Amino acid sequence: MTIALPEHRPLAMDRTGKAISEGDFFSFALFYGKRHPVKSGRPTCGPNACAASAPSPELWVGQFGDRLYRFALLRVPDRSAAEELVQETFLAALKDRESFRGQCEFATWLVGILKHKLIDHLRKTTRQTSLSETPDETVDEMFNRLGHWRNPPASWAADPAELAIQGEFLATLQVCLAALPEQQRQALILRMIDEEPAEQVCKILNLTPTNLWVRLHRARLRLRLCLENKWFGHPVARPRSGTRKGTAHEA
Amino acid sequence: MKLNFMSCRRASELAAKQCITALSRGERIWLGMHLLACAACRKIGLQISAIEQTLRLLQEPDATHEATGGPQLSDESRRRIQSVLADRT
Repeated sequence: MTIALPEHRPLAMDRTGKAISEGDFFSFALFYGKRHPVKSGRPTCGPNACAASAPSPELWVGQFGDRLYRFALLRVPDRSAAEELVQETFLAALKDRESFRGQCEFATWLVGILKHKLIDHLRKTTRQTSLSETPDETVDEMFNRLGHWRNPPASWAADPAELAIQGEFLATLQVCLAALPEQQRQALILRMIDEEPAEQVCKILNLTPTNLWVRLHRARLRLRLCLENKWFGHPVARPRSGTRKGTAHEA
Repeated sequence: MKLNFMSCRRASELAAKQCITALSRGERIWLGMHLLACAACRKIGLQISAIEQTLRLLQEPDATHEATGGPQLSDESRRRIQSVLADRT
């Protein structure tokens, strides 16, 4: 069954580059909540996978310190914890540098080590979770008693994927991410940014699949609302010439 | 039943659930029918999907730090880590 959505201009692309606005209705329904995001294809390199020409350790902090720090800080917003993780990563790399075989960039190898450190950190800091999630008033207030949206969604002036090239938009996105409750942010980052399998996210965060999708549901709605308030609904922050597309998200 | 069918909350929950586990046939049909009838949920679904595409750019923050002027290690922590590494080298 194929229907035409009211907006015929491409609103966004799926991973095959197909404009979703022209799509089959049930494909659209699946797009609405993608079940299995595809890995990005970025080069990966585990701590034991890669030993050719690693830079001298005294250069590491200068060359890679900020990169690792930013990577850690997005996932662990506490600055001192992020710094500690960077230090642990360099120490592990120093201890294990014989295993770097130059099969990937040295920086990629370091990020691989940092990812393991981050997962260990999350496991240690995640408290035992109760089976039932506590209510989230921010999300509850988005709906009336019949379950309808209390406020209809605003039309966004441009597609976030196009705005991604704008530093300000990405900065706003990171502010909104950091504003999410800790548990929701962890679930969203592991599943939607790091694209870890759901089973792995459940293990790391000690969650049931139901707990995980409840957190993901809340995080997605909060993030959308935050961007609507801080970017799309803010006249000063609206994208300027070259990126505006009128009502690209008009349904 | 009619009210339940029109619940946008339920639709947004199923959309999130779909990212974690497969929906039952009944749930998929319910979601499809709801989206067919509800312009607001279609719009929000597209917006969230677009946000999630953008989120993947943050997999490697260095790809964007030039634009965002990302955070940097403090001088103090930089010196401390250098010192710890020098001790172990």
